[in-house]
Amino acid sequence: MSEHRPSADMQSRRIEQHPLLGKLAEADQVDITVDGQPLTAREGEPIAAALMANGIDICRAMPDSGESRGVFCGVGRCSDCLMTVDGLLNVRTCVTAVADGMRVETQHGLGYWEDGQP
Amino acid sequence: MKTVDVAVVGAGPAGIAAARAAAESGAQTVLLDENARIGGQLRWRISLALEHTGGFDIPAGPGPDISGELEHQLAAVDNLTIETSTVAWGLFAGNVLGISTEDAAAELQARSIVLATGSTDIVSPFPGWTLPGVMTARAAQIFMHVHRVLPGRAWVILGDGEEAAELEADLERSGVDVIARCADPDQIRASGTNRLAHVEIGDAVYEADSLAIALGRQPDAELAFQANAAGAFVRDLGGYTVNRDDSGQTSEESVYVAGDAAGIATFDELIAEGRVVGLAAAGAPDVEIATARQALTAAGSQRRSNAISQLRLQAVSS
Repeated sequence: MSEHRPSADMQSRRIEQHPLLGKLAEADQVDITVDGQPLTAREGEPIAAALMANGIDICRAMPDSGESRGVFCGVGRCSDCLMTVDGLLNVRTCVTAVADGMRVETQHGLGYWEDGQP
Repeated sequence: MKTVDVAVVGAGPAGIAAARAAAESGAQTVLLDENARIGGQLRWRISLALEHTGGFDIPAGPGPDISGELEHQLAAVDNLTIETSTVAWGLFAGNVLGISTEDAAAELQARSIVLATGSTDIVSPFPGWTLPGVMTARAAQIFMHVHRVLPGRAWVILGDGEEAAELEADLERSGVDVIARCADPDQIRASGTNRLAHVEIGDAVYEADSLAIALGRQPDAELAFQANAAGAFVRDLGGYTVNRDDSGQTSEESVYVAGDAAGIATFDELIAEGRVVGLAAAGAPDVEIATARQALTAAGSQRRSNAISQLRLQAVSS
């Protein structure tokens, strides 16, 4: 690991400074919850980016095997980043923007609707 | 159903150039993109975007707003409508696109359709490739450059081509370490409990929290194939793609393909080809199309144009 790391805050995985892109622009804060825990996001960013910035890399557990999945393709094609959002199953978190008050939950298997039905 | 002269799917370099050329030659043109901002790969392949923007004239950094600059330039073009956050999910008989936005679905008919749908990353499975922390090179670039988040700090790169070198430079610019590179998917194993922790390359073991698959890009012409366009696998074009005439028209009349979707190309080539195809789709005068074609020949690589010729010959003989 290199000694100096000018662009990345050690606490956060936000890239505040970038040699080509410059300083990260100001953005309004959006408050969401992830498995019940409060978390702050940047307005307009995808859910998966907000999670990653806060150190969360696991989006769901596969049916049967229970293996973890996280961001893989980043463009809404592969389905690895599916989570349950505001009770809606199978939301592609890499291409779905955060919204204030959003409830994001790790999806287990195929997920459960709010009435408890799989 | 809404009807336009030209519908362009994909607002990357080729799609923007095609839509602009079509609109400027007088065709009522709609440019669609599934993302909230236009620019396509220009948004995440920033080192290339800033070096090779050809006719786009994006000011050099630091801190260029690539999408904003393109939006500003296109706002001055008459006859052009841009629909972002709009997915084109189907192409049906009679040049009808199935499109959807966040809360609505619709049909859009066009006299000519230009598919500038770009590429996807080539992926080759290996043990542990599904662990969180393993991702495509494109995902790594999008999270770093568009979303401004670091997926991880200790990286292994799978691949030894241009995309691998590009990603390595991108990671270094973001201040993180590339601890190993592996050329061969058969020699790599990823492991960890719930998340990537170790990568084995042959007999060597590395502690890593991220592994990028940078094996190159392949054309994504799925909508053209949905419309029955003929195609073939041509290695020098990046994989399976459509056969086109020298105006970019596929075997299906008035369905055109431009850019990486028809064979992986350089940025300058994408822009020059988008212009040829946009003019042809709009029914511009032959002399204008011929001039644009000369510019494409000047910008294009011999390897890609040979591969396109090879694909045409395959189509004729089959």
